[in-house]
Amino acid sequence: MSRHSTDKSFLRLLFAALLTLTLAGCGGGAKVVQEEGEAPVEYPSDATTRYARALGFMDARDDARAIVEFEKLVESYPEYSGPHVNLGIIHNRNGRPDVAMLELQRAVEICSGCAVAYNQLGIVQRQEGLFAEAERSYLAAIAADPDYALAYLNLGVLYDLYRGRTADALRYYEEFKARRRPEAIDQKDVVDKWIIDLKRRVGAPPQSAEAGE
Amino acid sequence: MEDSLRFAQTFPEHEQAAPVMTNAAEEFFRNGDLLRALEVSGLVVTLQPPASMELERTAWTVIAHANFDLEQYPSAEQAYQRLLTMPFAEESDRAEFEDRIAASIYRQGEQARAAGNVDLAVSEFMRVAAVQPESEFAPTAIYDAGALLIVSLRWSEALDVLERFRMDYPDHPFNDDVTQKLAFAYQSAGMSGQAAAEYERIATLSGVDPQLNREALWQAADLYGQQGSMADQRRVYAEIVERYPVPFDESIEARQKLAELAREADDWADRQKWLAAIVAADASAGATRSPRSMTLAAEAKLELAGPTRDAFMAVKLTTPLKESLKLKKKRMETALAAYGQAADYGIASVTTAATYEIANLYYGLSQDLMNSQRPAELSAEEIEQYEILLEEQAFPFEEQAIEIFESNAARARDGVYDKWVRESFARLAELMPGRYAKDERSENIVAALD
Repeated sequence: MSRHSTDKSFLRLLFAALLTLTLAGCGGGAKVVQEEGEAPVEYPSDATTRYARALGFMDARDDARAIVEFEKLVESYPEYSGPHVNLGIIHNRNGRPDVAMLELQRAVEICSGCAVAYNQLGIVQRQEGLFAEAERSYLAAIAADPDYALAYLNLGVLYDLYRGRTADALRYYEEFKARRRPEAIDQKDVVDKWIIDLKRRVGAPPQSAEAGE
Repeated sequence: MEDSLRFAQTFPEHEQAAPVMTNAAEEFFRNGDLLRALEVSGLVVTLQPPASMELERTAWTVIAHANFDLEQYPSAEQAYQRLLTMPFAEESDRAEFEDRIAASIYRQGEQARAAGNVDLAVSEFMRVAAVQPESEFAPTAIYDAGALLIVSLRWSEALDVLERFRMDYPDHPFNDDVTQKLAFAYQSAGMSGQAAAEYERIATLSGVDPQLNREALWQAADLYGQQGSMADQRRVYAEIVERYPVPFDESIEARQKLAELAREADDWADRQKWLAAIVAADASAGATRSPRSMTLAAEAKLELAGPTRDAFMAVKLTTPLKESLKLKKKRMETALAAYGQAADYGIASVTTAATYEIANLYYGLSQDLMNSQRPAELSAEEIEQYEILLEEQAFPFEEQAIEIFESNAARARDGVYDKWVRESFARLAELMPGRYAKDERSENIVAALD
């Protein structure tokens, strides 16, 4: 799993972890967020506490307050990309892709190894018709984290619908399929159907969804 | 002469002193020794007992002219004023002195202007007209006052002065220039309506560069727009179209403006008229046809196709189906031709819109067939058969619609991704979700601070 990717359960665990650290660290000093298989990363407790609060607003779809909190965080801690990525997500879902793109570009400037940031940037670029840029962003996401499944899927969609590169699309859908999390059932069925359809179109023998697993 | 003068100065009360000194003053003046001429003539006019009226008049004349030539205009003006109070040697002298007074005041205005004293300069220029309104210097002085006020960005005062000029000297040759200055001053003062009226006057001037006439009309139209006088704006643009078929690029832009203004005015008949005019003008432009004129014509053609589409959509397929379908197909052909012509311009944004509309026409026909009125007299079994037949009729049209939507969506591969290409993708996502309803997957939230 990518160290960036999230789902609801993961997020709740993270909130709980952050809250624990915050409560335990009332005396101040650096806090540690550690993910499996990675070296400990130290963050200031003030940053993690405020980030958790902003994430809480975002998770509750209180976008206005989330934006305020993330922007304050950006002012205090310009060295972190996470607030920019979340601002990008919020602005894009609220119909402001231009602002979203600026935030996401800032995010990848800060964190050149953040696959999530590149993936989100690619999404907005594709929406805006910047297909070549979107392709570069998705490829950068894959280069940053070869296990980050969503970048494969999104690159497949780009090739499939907007570039006319059916064979490449098929390849990236299959790469996604090989990396997707088992619990992502909703993604499984539909992408399997896309693969079957594409195989038919490129002339390859269709493979059943079961056989593909 | 020096000896005679010395005698006269030594014996000023001598009866020959005044004639001698007056003669000497005139002689100095004739020889260009203006300072000596002033000095001696000054003695003449202060003699006791006074010199004769004739000698005194001669001396004042020397004083006036010498001061004028020495550019000592206030003194010159005073001397000429003094001469006006004296009996004239000849009646023609009056006109000359009055003219010299006007000239002296005008020169004082010029000196103040050169010294950067705008208030004084304007005051002196305006005094010319007040003191000598009939002088030929008067209109020039008022004009100069107005011009100086414009240069000094004093719009309100400039407008007063220039409007007065126009009122007092309606036939003066400067009036063309005054009109241009008034236009500029009104515009600078933010008085768009008055400025526009002046620019319209400029457009009628015969003594100026014809390009200025034309540009003035454009300016007038723009200013009427700023003022919100849409009727005047439309009138002026129509005049541009009428008077200036060339240059073509401007002429077609005027038509475009008229089409836009008609839309703003909800004057749809007029809008159609100007859209058609754009198409016609572009078609007959020959070598002057340009990418811009073709774009405007293509957009106009696209909009003009709208009513043909609406007419097609308005036809309901009712029993007897054969008759209503005949009418619907006829209107479809008309609409297809109209959108086809719009697409033929090869303007990307119009082509994608026209293609979308064409696809929608086919889709509309397929849907209308499926939703057409069923014959009342059929049994349930016959209805079933009838609907199978309808599907067979409708399906090829839906297929054609999908193919055309796909051709539009495929333009994305060439980097064309405008509203109509996006809309085509959206329609395809509805019609063929398995192939086209493919959205990217985004994170909902990112927990890593990084």
